[in-house]
Parts: sequence; C-alpha cells; structure tokens
Amino acid sequence: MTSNDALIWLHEYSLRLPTKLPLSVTSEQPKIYCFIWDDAYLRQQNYSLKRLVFIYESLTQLPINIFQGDTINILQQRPEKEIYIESTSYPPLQEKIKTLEEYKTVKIIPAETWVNIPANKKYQRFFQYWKNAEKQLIQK
Amino acid sequence: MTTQSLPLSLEKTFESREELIAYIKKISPWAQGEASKIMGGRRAAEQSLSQIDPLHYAATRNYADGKVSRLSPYITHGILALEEVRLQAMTHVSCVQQIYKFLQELSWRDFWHHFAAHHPQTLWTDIEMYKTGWKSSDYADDLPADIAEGKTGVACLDQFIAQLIDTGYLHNHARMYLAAYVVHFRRVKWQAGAGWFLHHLLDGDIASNNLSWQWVASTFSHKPYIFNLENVARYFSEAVDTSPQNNQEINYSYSELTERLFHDI
Repeated sequence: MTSNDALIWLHEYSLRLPTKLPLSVTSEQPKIYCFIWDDAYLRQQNYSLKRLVFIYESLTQLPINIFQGDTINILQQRPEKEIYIESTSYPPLQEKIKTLEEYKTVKIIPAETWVNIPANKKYQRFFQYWKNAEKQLIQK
Repeated sequence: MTTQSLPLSLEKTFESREELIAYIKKISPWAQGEASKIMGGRRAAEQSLSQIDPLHYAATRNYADGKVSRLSPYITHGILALEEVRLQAMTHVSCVQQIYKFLQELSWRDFWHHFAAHHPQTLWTDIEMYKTGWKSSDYADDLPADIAEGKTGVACLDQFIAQLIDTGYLHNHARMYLAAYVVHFRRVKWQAGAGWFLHHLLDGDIASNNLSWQWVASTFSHKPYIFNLENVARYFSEAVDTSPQNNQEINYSYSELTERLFHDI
C-alpha cells in the first residue's frame, strides 16, 4: 500500500463497489476498498442485530477489507492521500465525512442519478416531483 | 510522536450463517434482538430481483400477498441500484406504461432524499402543524411499552409488530396502519414511532421512514392518514386475525374514528 493508492471507504448505505469512480482515479491506480466496523458509531445509530447481520453478510460477499475500530482514527492513519466515499444524505455519516476532511482529502463519489432534477428545483410535494420524473422514466 | 497501529481486520469467511451471527454477537455484544431470516448480500439481492412481478404490482400492491418487490433492504444499502431494478422490470413488459405504478412507487425514495437534502432539519422536526386539531405538545414523547412489545391487544397490529421484530420487514400498508395507530389512536409523537421503525427495519432509511411518518401524522400532508378494521380485513384477512372481537379498538367507521381521534376538525 502506498500513498498514491486510491482508498475507497464503503459505508452502510453503499455496500457495493462503485460502478463509476471519479476521473481522478486512474485505471492503473491500485484501489483499496474498505468498510470500518465502528462499533461505537453502529451502536449510536441504534441498529438492531438484524441490521448488523444484514450489513455484515453483505460485506462478506465483497472483495474488501473489514477493519474494526474508530472510523476517523483508522482513516486518518492510512497512508493514502485521498479517500473516496459514496455520496450520502445520512446526517451522522455526513458528520463523519466533515470531520475526516480536517485530516484528508475527501472525494465524494456522486450517487447514481434516478432522475435529473434541475439544480434550482426544490420540490415540496411528491406529485410536483413526479411531473418531472414521469417525463424521464416513462419516456426513457 | 503518536504510535500508529494497524487496525484489526475482521473475519470474512464463515462455515455457516449461524457462525457469522455468533461472530457479530461477539464483536457487537450490545446489539439487541435476533437475526432476520432475510439474507443480506448481492446474491440474495439478485435472487429477489429475478422474482419481481412488476406487471401485476399495481393491481395487487395493497394486499398482504400482493406482488411487491421486497427489494427495499437491498436498495437502502446500495446493494441494488434503482436503475438495475428498472431495467429488470422492463424485461417483463412490452410497454413502459405497464409498469407505470411500479416506477412511480420506486421514485418515492428519490423524492424523500431530494426533500431531505434540501431540508435536513425536517428529519426529526415537524414540517407543518398537525392537522388533527391537536398541538404537538398534546402527543406523548415516548413509545408505550405495549406497542414496542406487540402487546397492544389489537390482534392484527400485534401480529404486524411481531413480524417487524422478527423479520425487520413489513408490507408498506402494514407500516401505514402501525404509524396511524401510534400517532392517532395512541396520540404519540411520530418521532417516537419513526425511531422504533428505524431500529427494526432492515430497509430503515431516515429520509423515507421519517418523512413517511410525517405524512401519516399530517405534519407533511394535508390531512391525517387513518384506517379501520374494515380496511385491514379487506387487504390482510388472509394474513392476520381481523376478527371484530380481537380488534375492537379499530373497529369503527371513518366518521366515528374522526370523532373519537381528532379534536374539532
């Protein structure tokens, strides 16, 4: 492992290898995928054993390392300069990412787009959203 | 100078599922409950994806044995992408209009995430006032123990709760019944119920879950969602006990319920 490798941190809402990495990751660059079993964090989310088993079972089918410990400590100590993380709207994970940015260069892998929403649009009700989504999904 | 140590790598190979479960109990001994029969992982996701029946989804989706996909745990955890589901659904039909409702329902999650991204503060706070005639302060903060344990005395709801606790999955219609029962019949804040669902559901997703609870509660909709025994019996009579004698608390007409549950509306 070297500082030029690309480290991809998978969180519990991204339990698959990303299909598209940002262009800054070259095809020759070694990629290291990891999930961190951060017990304090998982406990704080109040996940049941059902959820933990589901997550772990999913991890065992991926070519990744599962590290145990505090997410920030582990990622902070990694030699890789850049850490790639799939976009998330889950506030506790966003907090972790914000903290990590104090120590590392974090690059967000954009979430796959289901429908394109104009940047200035903030839909307040589903059927306003659906008017736009319908055109894209039904005419696709 | 700080000492750097290599993090501990956890096991990935197990002889059996039981061994994997025992391992998780060892590394996270605080975790409550037992494992669900619903399997995690890409293989199980692909198996479920191959079994969807989007063509009959619209007509049957509200029924206990309706052709719902049950893919939500895999979608929530990013194991399956919505686009993969769409492409698989398209292989069942000759025209996209045949799966209109299926695609519309898949889109709800995207909408909740869009809304939550712009209004993250609404995930745990009322978006609007309750339209029930009651103030937020009229609702209890905590989930009563009889609900958490599935001992409400309303037979069909207790069976839904048992299923939630046992499997971590509930039909969407059953989720709406439970949410309406918690908020409107028992007058408990939607936040208490939302947290309870997030604890148990394998597809627990804060945006979809909490905003749906707000929709039922009427803090994110024009009116409260309520149900009665007749409605449960119509859709779930084969799945749960819908006998009037075992479900008295919900055995009223809608006008009677409106009178009983709400305040001057």
